[in-house]
Amino acid sequence: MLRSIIALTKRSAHSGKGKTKTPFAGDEVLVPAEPYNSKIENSSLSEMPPIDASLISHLERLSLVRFDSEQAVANLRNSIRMAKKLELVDVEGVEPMHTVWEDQECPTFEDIEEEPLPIEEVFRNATVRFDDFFVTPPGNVPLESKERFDLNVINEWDTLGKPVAPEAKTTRMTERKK
Amino acid sequence: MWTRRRLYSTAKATISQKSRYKPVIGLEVHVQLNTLTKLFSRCPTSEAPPNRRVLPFDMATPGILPKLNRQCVHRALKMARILNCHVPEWSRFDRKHYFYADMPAGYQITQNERPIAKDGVFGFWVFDEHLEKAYWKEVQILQLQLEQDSGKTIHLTESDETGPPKSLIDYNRAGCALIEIVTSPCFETAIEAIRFVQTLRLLLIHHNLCDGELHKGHMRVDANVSLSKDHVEGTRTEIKNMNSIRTIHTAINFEIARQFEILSANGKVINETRAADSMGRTVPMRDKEVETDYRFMIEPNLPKLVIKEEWRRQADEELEKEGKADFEWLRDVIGFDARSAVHIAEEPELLTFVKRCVRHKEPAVTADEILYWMRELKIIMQRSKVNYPPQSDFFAKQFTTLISCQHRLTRLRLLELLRLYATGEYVEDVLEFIEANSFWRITSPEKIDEFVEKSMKKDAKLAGKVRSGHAKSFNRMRNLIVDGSEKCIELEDVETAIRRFLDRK
Repeated sequence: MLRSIIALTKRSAHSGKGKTKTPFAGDEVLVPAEPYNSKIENSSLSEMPPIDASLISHLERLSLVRFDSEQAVANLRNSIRMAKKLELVDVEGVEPMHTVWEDQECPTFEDIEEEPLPIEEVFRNATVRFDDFFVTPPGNVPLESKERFDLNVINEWDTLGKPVAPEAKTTRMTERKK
Repeated sequence: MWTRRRLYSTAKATISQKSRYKPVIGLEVHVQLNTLTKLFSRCPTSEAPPNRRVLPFDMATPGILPKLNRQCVHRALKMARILNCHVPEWSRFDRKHYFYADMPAGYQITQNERPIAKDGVFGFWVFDEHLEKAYWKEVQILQLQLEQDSGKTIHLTESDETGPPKSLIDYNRAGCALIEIVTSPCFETAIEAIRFVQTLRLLLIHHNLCDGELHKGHMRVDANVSLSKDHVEGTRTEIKNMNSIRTIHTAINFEIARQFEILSANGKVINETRAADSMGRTVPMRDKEVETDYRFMIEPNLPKLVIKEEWRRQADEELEKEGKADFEWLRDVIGFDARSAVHIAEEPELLTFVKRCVRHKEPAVTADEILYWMRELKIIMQRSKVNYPPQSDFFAKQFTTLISCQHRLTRLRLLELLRLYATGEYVEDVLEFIEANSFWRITSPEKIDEFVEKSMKKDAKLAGKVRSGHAKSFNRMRNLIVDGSEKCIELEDVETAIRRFLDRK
């Protein structure tokens, strides 16, 4: 959602009014031709958050969209202001709606296998392929450890046991002594 | 930073300071459900080469909607019952956003606010080789959530052959069904944590919810670890993706020791995600220290999941039919101690053998007796270089027969018979074999005296030494007599008889 707001923000910076289209010719156009200008005073809105470099970079990271101009930031500010107006709507005691299918129950399906995609179909949109793997830039690799390793120190915290790690699984019988 | 130097400087303070800190551990166990297809697509989950188990939904092709697997819901309901959870009338799915390449949609469908089950409690025995007495522990289960698994990533470092560093992605696992079990932070030691996972694993396998092979990632455990000082909560770290019991144990203890070292030197523990390396050390995993913003939102493509009465009934009926797990049966019905019950249940061959023994045994033979003789048997078989435990039903029958006759046989005779039957190809019933060879223990003092007299006469030189009180000769004479009786006289009985003989003359 955030991504789409930012995308809209960017687009509105340099696009004018296009020609209205409907999926089927002759359908009634429900979107108003002229934008509706809210009559809510900005002064009645809650305080705007400061838009600083760290917030911008946080939003960029979340949305994967770069703010490439000052205008884009100004548009963001307008979008936030727009959203702030919604805060004025009285929602006391109203359960938020999350889907238009609220009265529907989730359908379930039997656990019956379907034929998976052929490998060539799977890779049809991949520009880079390495054997039968997708390739991405390296990510989330655990850092190397140079920390020392002393089981005795570590397992002192097992107040239950002796300072030894539990045996790997063996067939060793471990019954009590008779 | 944590340095070697610091270890020595704090070593002395350790003992007095340690008692002020208490480890606080909470677990998240990711259980891979063993359904035929994935959670939201009917793609098979069987093993296959990379990217052979992918349908459009699994690689987040736009426009494909999730189709919830009824079997996953069924298994979740069974698990809820096993963990004594409350299952609300309805639950709901949420999107949790990550930006990782092995999560193709950019979010995971999971259950955050309205999980399928919550508020459970699960009890298990905590035992250890070095723990004097096993104790019962109950943990609070916060919730069970149905969620999607991610794909798998292989990290390639830079090389001439493969070029710059890169990650390779396999989507076979993407979208497979997981149930995440979230416990409250109520474990106090790593041992408690691993006993919980072990017990849980055996139950999940028994009730056909999960294949339970940890090394294949069927169960992956995250642990939240912190140290509270004087009952004040500490900052916690999260150890991710541990997939062996041993790693869970070592990594938790490593993390506790690491945090203690930082705290006792007045340092600060950073809230971070860590991974466990092959040794069980925990290492920082994500270089960013800012808390991840998952931007949870309700999944709009899946309406409310209303749990039908019929579904609950089916889950209950199936659990009823499946009955007790092997370890519970061994412990509660047959009388094995908690520790042996779990260890036997974890080893399929051993379990088969013990089950046979239980089937053949006389009611009077106890679990402790079986365990005792199993240990003797193991030593015998290892010395004879044959595989333990024995595979044949015939042997199990002879074994239990011997145990029920243990008081009518000498210990040495019994061990010898065990050896013969475990290593040889004896097909004769052991009772008949004993009868035919008159191997029953000789208890009559007169008969024993006869043996003593005969041997003392036969080896006059040794007898002389025995008379003069030479201890080694005494033992030698005793052994000769025992052998002479075909091990049918108990050692102690021979010793008494020799003394009687010496006193008489």
